[in-house]
Amino acid sequence: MSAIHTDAEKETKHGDFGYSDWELYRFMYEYAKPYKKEMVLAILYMLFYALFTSLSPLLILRAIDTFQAQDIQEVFGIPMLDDVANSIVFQTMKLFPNVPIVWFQVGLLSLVYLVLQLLIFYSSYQQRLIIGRVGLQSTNQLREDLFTHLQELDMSYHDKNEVGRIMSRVTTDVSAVWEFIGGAVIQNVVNMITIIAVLFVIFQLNVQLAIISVLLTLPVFILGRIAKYFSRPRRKEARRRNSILMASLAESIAGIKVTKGLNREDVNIEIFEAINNNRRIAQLKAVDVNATMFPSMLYFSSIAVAVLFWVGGLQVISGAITLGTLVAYINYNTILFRPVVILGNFYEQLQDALTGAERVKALLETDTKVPWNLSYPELPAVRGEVSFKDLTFEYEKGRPVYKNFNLHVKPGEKVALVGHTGAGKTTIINILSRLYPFQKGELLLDDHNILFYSLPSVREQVVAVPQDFFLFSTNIRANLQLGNPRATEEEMWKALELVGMKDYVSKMEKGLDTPLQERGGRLSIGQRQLIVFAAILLANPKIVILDEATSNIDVFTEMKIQESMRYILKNRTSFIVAHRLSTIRDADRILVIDNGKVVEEGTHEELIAKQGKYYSLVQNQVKLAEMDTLHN
Amino acid sequence: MRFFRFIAPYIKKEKWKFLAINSLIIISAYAQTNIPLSIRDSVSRYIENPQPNLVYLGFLIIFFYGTLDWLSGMALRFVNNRYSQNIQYEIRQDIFEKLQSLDLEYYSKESIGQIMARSIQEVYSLQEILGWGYRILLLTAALFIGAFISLWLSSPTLALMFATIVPIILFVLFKSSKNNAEKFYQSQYQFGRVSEVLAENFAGIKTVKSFGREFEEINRFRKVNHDFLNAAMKVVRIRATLQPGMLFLISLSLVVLLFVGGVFTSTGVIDTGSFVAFMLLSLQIMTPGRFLGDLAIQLQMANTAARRLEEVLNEKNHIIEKPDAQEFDGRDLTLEFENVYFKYPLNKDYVLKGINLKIDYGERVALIGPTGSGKSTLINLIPRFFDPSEGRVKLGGKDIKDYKVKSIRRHVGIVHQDSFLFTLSIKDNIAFGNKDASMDEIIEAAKMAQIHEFIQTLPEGYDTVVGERGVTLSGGQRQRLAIARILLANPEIIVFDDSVSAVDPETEARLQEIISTRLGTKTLIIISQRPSSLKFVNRVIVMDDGEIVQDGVHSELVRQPGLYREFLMAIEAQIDDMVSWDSTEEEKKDRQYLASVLRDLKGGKNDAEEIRK
Repeated sequence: MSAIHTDAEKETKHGDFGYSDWELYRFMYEYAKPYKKEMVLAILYMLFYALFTSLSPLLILRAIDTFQAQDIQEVFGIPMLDDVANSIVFQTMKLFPNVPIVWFQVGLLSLVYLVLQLLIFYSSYQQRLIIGRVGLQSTNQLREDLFTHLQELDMSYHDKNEVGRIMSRVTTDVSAVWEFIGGAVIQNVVNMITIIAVLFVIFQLNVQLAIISVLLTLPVFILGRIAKYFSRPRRKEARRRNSILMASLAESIAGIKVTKGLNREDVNIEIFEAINNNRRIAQLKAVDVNATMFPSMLYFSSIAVAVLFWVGGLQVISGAITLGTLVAYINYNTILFRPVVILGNFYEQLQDALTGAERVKALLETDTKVPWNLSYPELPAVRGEVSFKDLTFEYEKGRPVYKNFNLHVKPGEKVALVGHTGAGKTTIINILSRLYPFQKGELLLDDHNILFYSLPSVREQVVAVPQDFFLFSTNIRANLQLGNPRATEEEMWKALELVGMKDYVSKMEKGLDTPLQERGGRLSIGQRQLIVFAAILLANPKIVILDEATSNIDVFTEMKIQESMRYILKNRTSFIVAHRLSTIRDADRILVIDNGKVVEEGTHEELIAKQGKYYSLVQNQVKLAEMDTLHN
Repeated sequence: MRFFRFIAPYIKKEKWKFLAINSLIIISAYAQTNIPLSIRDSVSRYIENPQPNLVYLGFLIIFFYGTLDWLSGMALRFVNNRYSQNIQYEIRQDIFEKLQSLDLEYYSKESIGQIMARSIQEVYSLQEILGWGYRILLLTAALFIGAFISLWLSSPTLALMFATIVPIILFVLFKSSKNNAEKFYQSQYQFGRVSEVLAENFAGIKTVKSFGREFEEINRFRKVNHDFLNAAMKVVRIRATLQPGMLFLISLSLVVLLFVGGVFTSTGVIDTGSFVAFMLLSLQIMTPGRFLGDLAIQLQMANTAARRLEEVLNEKNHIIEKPDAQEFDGRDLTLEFENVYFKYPLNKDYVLKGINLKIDYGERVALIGPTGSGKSTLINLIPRFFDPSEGRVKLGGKDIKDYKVKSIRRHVGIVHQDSFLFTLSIKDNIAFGNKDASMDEIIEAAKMAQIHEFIQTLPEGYDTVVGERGVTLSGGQRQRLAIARILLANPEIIVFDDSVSAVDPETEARLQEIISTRLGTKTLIIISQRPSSLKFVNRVIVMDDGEIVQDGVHSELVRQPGLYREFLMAIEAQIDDMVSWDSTEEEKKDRQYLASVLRDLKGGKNDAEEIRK
């Protein structure tokens, strides 16, 4: 089972995308840039936070030393502050004459500590709020940019990438980047500032003890490097296993009908069990690295406490420092080690964010070969003349489907394209509808080279209906708006009437607003086709391109469709990949395509007379349609 | 809490690991509590008797507890990882099995996007709390209790004051999770909407581009993306408040200690060593305690996830097997529809209106009628993909509801319109319904379905992987593989639901020829719009607007006025249109030739009727 998925994640096969980590940081920074003001504010709050956090152990130090020495005259140990403090204490003492003085002094100390904690809370709250919002807004922008880019990317990209894969770019990978902008980096800025503030204070207090703490943080960074080495490949594998699981789940949902019809549920469950288990194993391998490394990093914090106690204890005995200082040190040690351990783990945390950023950036930098060119002029209204001039087209490099292809179609002409599967009929449609780029030559509408005009303005006048056209689940209205987003209610009903769908739609429980289920599942294939025709009517293009669906439609619906088709093609140039006799019969000109060339060309009568390829194609078609006649 | 109720049975399965986790957390907390306490002891002893030896001893004791903490910490994480991954594995498995068991009605109302979001994202939300949330919670609690006990031993008053913080924290945790549940749900739900729009857009990207509607789609996406932003912003505020808020609450206990402890120390109620120890103890609590805020958030996400998961797990199946359902033995395969009415859950109109039909075993029936007349719906009732709204479907004279569902499906095979293939090898796709099939049987089925030759041209032959991620096949090739799949399963009643539409004419002719001769006595139902299919049947049923309007043999129906005759006339008209040209001698010859082709075909048909008689 797993062998099938070796190709599932092409990006792991190709290794990385060749971006340096620095480029990825810059890329992510670009999205945070519009929020510079907020970022500055957040950093200010962080500074406050770090400051308050590094001050609070000093208060505890004071408390211990003061109470141990029973010297309650110097509450803070700084003369100016003590003056203020003492005056406050004496003022309040007057109000409660029976309470001992120590209560007030201790109370004052606690009050200051409390205020400090409040400030810590407030600055932390503000900082998180700002960063959280900036993170959300910037990744929202990123998601939107990605989506927009995906809309512009031509079909050669979409053909190669399954829906599930593209979706994981826009959801999972962007969320990973959010973790980065909104989480990891910011947390680490705070950590960095805290470390600096703490280092400043402890070096002020006692250099010897400070050096002990600093030295013992070094192994933490070394462990961090080791962790990175082990965890990177394991995390990638875990991600890969995970995407296999997602793909398997998606497929089993899509194929549920087949599964049920063939009583295959048990086997599917067994297969899923294996995939699920593989995922579990890969995941465990990845998280076990952390399980070893993280406690080991913290272990150095405990060792530091022990060493501090040893060295500091001796200093207390010799009278070099007070007991309060030692306690404060041990406290500072904890405050110092927490961010250090997290920073040591920084790279590991960043793995997912970087992988996400990498994929997102790579996608954003995938160039579309059929750009919108929004800055180009709008295509003026055309009469509907179409010419291919020496046009070369290939899906894969070096394997042209059409080479120096020439074709001229008069305004209003109806052209039917016929030929065997794989002959290249749909390719002509793909070139014309600009779903794929052509490599050489010119495509002219009237006398306008299509490449020199903005793509949306071209599509205003050239509308294509792919064979596997897709109806959206939203409702009928949204699908009609595919044709013209500004169509009025009245126009929609009119269009439905013209294609013979008005009665049916008006009978549906919510009329135009009736939801259609996935892929328009509530309508029959014939009805779906008619809805698309209505959308074309609303779009009112000069040139219509139609790739007929191969699904069988009953002869009555077909007649209905035929009628509507004649109507929608009236006064328009049209290209139709035809599968139905009636469609072919209606064409002004029939092109028989074989192997990237027009092998026969002419009206139905002319081509029949020729007794060539077209003739035998028709024979086959007739054979299909034939059965016992009425005269049996 | 919904989450605890949801997770309890899974924890039960992992109860040894759960016990180990709890024990290891307690060992860890014990070690962590003892570090400040040993500092206290050393400090107290030092004040009595300042000697360097005590400092060395203190160092060793701290080092010992530090090592204990490290070892238990590693063991704890190892066990915890396994515990958490196992539970996730079990939940995923349960969800998957549930999804496999749910009937098609569920799938007709939930989009793939939503089902995926529920079964993938929501299990992830549980990962955090299972992975470390619980560990942090218990560790904080254990440290708290450790601190409380040591405080109690020195000064019960101080201990009680210290403990007042517990109800405050619990209250805030409880209150916030209650008030914010809806906001979290909204945020997760809106994200699901984003995925839905994405899924649909990418699936229909070709249509969007063909109509040049990219910008409208961008606007649509912008809207759901914005809705998600708004919902998520509310959650950001909760997060920003809860995380530092919890830390603040814990530091309140430090303020209490500072105030009361300070007074006690200066008045000599407790010694300085104890005061130092309490300070360090509460600082120790802060380390895991700072995560209590995250924990509150995790709990809410977990609650939401549990709710969304339960919605799937508790989803009711509409196809219910009776407790006394019997195995269908397939001895009597007479198929009957008795006054069957049917409507889809969302529609108001009936798709089937009073169908009465009996098909004997071995009959070959063509089901024709305009699109939307209810043909596919009718056959979907046979394997109980749906149950009729009214009336009964009977096999062998007995309501199919009296049989086990699987035993019925074993006897019925439908080749669907959309020939869905799985990302499996061709071999496994053909053997999808019969995994024990031998290679010979698989090849035999492929030969019958006229796809064997094509498979052999593939570089990896039967091992070629097809499906979304595999080799791209044409519509006709996919259809033939789907046919081979059913032929291998070898059911007694076979339905072709417009399943040869993309197969080219010559191949179709061969396919039908072979199938009709090889199927022996099996019941065959063909839904098709191609008259060529009618050559192999001996009964024609015409449906229109949910009703059976005609039923009989071709030769009778063709003489009656009605839909069938109109159907044939319409086709005849089309053929005439194609072949009626007689301007030149040449063209006349053509026409004669085509007419002779038609005659041959008619002959074939007559033979089929002969055989039947």
